[in-house]
Amino acid sequence: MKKSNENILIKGFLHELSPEEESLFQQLLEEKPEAIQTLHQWEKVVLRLRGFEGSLRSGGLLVSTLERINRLEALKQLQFQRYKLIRNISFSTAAALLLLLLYVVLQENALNLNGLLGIAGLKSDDFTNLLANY
Amino acid sequence: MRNFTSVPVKNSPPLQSMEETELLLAVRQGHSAAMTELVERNIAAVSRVAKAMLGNTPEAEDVVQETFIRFWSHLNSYRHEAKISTFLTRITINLAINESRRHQKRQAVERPLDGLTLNPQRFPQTVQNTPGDDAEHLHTALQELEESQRAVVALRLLQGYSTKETAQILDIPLGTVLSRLSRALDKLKIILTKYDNV
Repeated sequence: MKKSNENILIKGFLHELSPEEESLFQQLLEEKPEAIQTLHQWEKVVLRLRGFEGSLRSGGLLVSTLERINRLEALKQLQFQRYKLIRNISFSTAAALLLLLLYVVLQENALNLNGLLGIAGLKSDDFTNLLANY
Repeated sequence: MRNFTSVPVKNSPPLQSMEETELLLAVRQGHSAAMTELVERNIAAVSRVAKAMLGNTPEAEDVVQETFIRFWSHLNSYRHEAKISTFLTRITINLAINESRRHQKRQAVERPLDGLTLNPQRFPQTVQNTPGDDAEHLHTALQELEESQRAVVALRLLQGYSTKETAQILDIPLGTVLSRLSRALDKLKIILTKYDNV
């Protein structure tokens, strides 16, 4: 069957013809008896499909679907709690470091590594120093 | 971060009588009862499409669950341009097509010469093909269609969407829906006649 006829036939079958197409459909049915046969066969298939819808029921899927969603929600909340904990630890560490830096700057009037590490006042451990202390 | 609670939604009608927009808002606010209601309202339709696409199989059940999980995880990006049921159907079809392709690949690796004949074992769980069991025949017959044809049959004939809606959901032209449907009906007719004559 030609593609245009095929389209008219399926549209007729689905009751979706425009008024112009309606006359083409009637003409097709008059000229091609096999088109009527095809319509009957399609009708039979659709009737069987309608009868079979019952076997597509969702059954116990509602409970299992909700259970999966709840499990995922619990997991997401756990991940969120962990994220919050890590975020809090990071903020506290950053604040402590900032205070330490501020303290060093105030004490030393400059920002140097030795001050930051608490060894700014130490002398080098060489022979002269050892003798002087002795 | 949504924080699901089972506390009823304050100052609002019962969930069962809520409009889709209100229900969606309640879900977004984290009310688990609203999510339950949303799943309850749509699970039959989603299941119908998944089972028409994949047969009565555990894969189809996975697709149903995965559809709602995808929807739930992407709630914030859902803009409610289409009805929730339409959006869910679109997700279901995509997931089912992916699953069907994965299944075909597995089958191609396991049994390279098996795809040429009518193959009732394509999905293992539909194997229990009791003679005279029309539902099982139809399940198997649907699996013999190309997935693009199966999607059109599932939406237009089983789910009851109009041809225009089917075209929108599948993102294909109207004419393509019609030609796929007529070819699918022809093929189903041939396959079912074979079964009837067995």
